[in-house]
Amino acid sequence: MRQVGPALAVALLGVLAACGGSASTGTTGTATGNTGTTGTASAGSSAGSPAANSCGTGLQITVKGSSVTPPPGTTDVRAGCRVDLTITADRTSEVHVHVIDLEKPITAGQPLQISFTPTQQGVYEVELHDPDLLLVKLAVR
Amino acid sequence: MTAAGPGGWAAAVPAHGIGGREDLPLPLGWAIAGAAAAVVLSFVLLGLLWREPRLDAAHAGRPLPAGLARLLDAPAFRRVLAGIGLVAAAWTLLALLAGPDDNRNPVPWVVYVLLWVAIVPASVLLGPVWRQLNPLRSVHALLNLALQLDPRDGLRPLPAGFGWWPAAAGILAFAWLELVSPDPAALGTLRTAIAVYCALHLFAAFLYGSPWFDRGDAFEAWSGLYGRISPLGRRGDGVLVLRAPLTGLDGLRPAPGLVATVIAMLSATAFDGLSGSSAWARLVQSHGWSRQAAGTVGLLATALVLGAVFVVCCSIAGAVGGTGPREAPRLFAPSVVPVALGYVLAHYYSFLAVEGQRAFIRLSDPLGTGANWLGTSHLQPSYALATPLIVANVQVAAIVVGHVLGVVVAHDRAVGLFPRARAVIGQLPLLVLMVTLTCLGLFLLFWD
Repeated sequence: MRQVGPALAVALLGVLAACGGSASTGTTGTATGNTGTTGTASAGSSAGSPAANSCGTGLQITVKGSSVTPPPGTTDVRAGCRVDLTITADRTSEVHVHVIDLEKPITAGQPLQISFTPTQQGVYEVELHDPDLLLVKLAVR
Repeated sequence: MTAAGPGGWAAAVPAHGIGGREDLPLPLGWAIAGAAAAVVLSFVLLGLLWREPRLDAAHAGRPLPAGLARLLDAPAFRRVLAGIGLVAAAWTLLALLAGPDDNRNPVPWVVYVLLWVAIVPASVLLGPVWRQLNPLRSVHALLNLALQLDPRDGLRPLPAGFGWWPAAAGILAFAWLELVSPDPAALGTLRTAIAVYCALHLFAAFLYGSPWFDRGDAFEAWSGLYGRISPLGRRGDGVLVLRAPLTGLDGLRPAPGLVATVIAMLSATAFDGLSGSSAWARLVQSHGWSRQAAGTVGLLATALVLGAVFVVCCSIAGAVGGTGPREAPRLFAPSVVPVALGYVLAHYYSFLAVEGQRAFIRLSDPLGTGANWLGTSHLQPSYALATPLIVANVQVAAIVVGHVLGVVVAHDRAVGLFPRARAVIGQLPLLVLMVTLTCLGLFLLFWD
């Protein structure tokens, strides 16, 4: 008991030193307010308009059976920049954007356009339902 | 912010069943720095730490002040704790049976945030708290009281071969419910799961007596094993003491299923990271596999692979160190508990910080009638504790501290078991194990 405490303290100090050293190599996080997201959705407009603001991201996703093109991965997005998704599926279902809780019905063969501007940092999954398919993950930084 | 509105709730089941937001991937530089720190610290500790075992659960510790010890051990105090558990259970049952079937219902938050995640830091600070709160233990005791029976007596003795096996199975079953089942947050799923859980454990408790709960109940085992890290503990002579954290792990005796249980603890969190990655989604979707079939196989495969890595490393350590390969995995199983703690804190920190608040917001209106029983139903959760910078720091610190504490526990066991001349070389396979688990933990946080 006597010697355990000091040795543990030394060990933990070592850890803290190591972590402190690594902090400079990482990203500099900025605190986001608690205002949530100001998501606006415009569905149905088939004129796949490109990203409105210069920092925006546009993605085209096609679903056939359980195959998603391009294969689901993570796309980096800057907080406050607009995201334009154009999704075409071979079935009538629902598209769900997590975090901003956006759900839009999608009709088989008809492109669905979803636009929103994420402000809350984190990873947002975009899914097609029944059965659930991951379409893309948006890493909002 | 959370999953979908009323209509889409059952279909919209994001990570962990609730909570739509996931953490940003850990930056690569942070993951590498964490892994490097773990490797360097391992060898520093090997040279620095004590040469005789120091973690002594039987004798170490300073007794608590007599008044405090009397209070904590008072039957009345125990009844108050059991009462709190029963009230919380009744509150949850009310929402489970009569609450709305949408995202206003608090039950998913009670089960996946409070019962599974919040219990971990509570146990690490205070010891095996779920044993005191467990409402099933209390219901079983009250029914025995009504029948004028001793709750410790069952119809037959608890078979010694059971050991920790039921807890290992229960932890994997819970992980399956949360990560693999089709609608983990849907009320129907939770009603079925809770009904099966209660029926199974009350039946087993009447069959084998209340000792069943000690190592048969997944939540008591989960809380109890993490609780052995706590500085608050009971000495061999029964006296409540304050002692160096981790000392309680020294008191963990080898028993059947102990290795399986600590591996299940590790696997439940590791598979959460694995199955949440887009690489996993690509694999499953590109083959057109069923999400449930792939998830079931993936969860079991994760446990088998982690178990195999653990057993192989410990067996080599035992063969080199002199205890022999067969007994070594059981003897070193306690050293996995701090590593599993690091995994849990790294993985669920932001989930607990944000969804933990939402649990109490939802609990204020359990029936979805606009009630405000706790005065919290109008609040919005704050994200102030879950900014990306804080989350990344907590993740790396949790994994590396968990690693260091695991190395300390393994070292203490090794110098107690291995002859002095072989103590250092015998620990090398254990260091390889710890570094492997730590790098895996960091990789799962970095991997998107």
